[in-house]
Amino acid sequence: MNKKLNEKGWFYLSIGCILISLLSLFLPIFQSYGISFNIIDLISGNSYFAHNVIGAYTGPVIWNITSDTVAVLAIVAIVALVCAIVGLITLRAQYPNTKNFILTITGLIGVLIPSVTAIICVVGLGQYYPGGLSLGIAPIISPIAIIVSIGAVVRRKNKVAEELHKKAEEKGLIWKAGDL
Amino acid sequence: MGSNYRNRMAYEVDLVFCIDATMSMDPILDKVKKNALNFYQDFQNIMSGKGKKVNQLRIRVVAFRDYTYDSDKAMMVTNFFKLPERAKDFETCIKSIFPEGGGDDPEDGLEALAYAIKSEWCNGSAKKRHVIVVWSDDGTHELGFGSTEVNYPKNMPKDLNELTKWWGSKQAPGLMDENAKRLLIFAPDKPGWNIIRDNWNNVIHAVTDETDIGLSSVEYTEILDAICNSI
Repeated sequence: MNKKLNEKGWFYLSIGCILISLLSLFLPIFQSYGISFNIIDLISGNSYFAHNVIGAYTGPVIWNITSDTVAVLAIVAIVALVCAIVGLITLRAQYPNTKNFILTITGLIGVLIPSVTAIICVVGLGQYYPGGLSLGIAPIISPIAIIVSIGAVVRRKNKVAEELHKKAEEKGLIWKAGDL
Repeated sequence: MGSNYRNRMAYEVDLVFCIDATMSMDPILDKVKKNALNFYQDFQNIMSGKGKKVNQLRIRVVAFRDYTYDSDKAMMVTNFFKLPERAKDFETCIKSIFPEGGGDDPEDGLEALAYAIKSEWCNGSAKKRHVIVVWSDDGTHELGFGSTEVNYPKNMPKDLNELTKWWGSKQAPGLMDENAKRLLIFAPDKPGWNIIRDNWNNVIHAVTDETDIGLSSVEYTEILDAICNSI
């Protein structure tokens, strides 16, 4: 039972981290004027956020992020999420190959995009919001969770490679080449 | 056709796959892994189509990387696997080779070739073929490039001239049977491979695009055809 848990532990950890990342979106993403805004506020085009925060922006316009843009980012994140989950399930079920691994990692990195965008907004341009703009807890939790998930997947891939190699060596099928 | 086929002499074929197992080579490794179990049948199908009977097929693997960067994993070898009896072992072995390491671009392909030339080739039948198949997406270091490393093997040829003597020629046979030996190279037109192509006999160089990382555009059927045509 313990061995099985160990073998699947990386999968439960990865999926768990993805869930944490998703759930964190319902926590504050931005804070301005002492008010917190989460994913629902951003996608629904919360009028206070749109007019008093985004509308009051005084800095250079690098990218005009409207609620439509937020919705697009959310869709990107969902597609990335689906890729990550499909990749994780296939990695667990099949002999791991590079395509599944790349699918999983690309998906996980895609899930990070909205958080990274939020961080850039705040860190790079927060000064231009009259009410100030600070990060909520979500853009901090989400990247950490996804990085842990990526770590679990990479570790799993390396571990499987080592185990397969060790198994083949122990059976005497392949070995380090010696003197000629 | 049927009676001609029955009366033909049967071949005994030994293949040595020298595979560049560095990080970029996942596409070709993936193809070999996917087809390991059915390789024997696919090979026999093509050879029968050519009217050639193969009584025995054995495969050996030499997975090479870079002595300077890859330490103990620089050169991994197997014995010959007789197919189809040991197809499962061949598959297990191939699946244990993961693309990793490599460091700089050229790899130690010439050292791999030395190991391949010194294989325990079959000597039973008059109609034997000893085919070395090389896959790499880059050129090679000069022989001895990694010779200062602790794990560099003894008795390796000290340069390409000595390796050329090992390969031999009609006038001065080397370590392999002159009539049986074949060398098939899937690699770009880069140093090491192009010098061998231009100077050794019984060599086919299927030149790949320099930008074709991991030989991703080389199809499995192309590989099989090239191997069977070389026999």
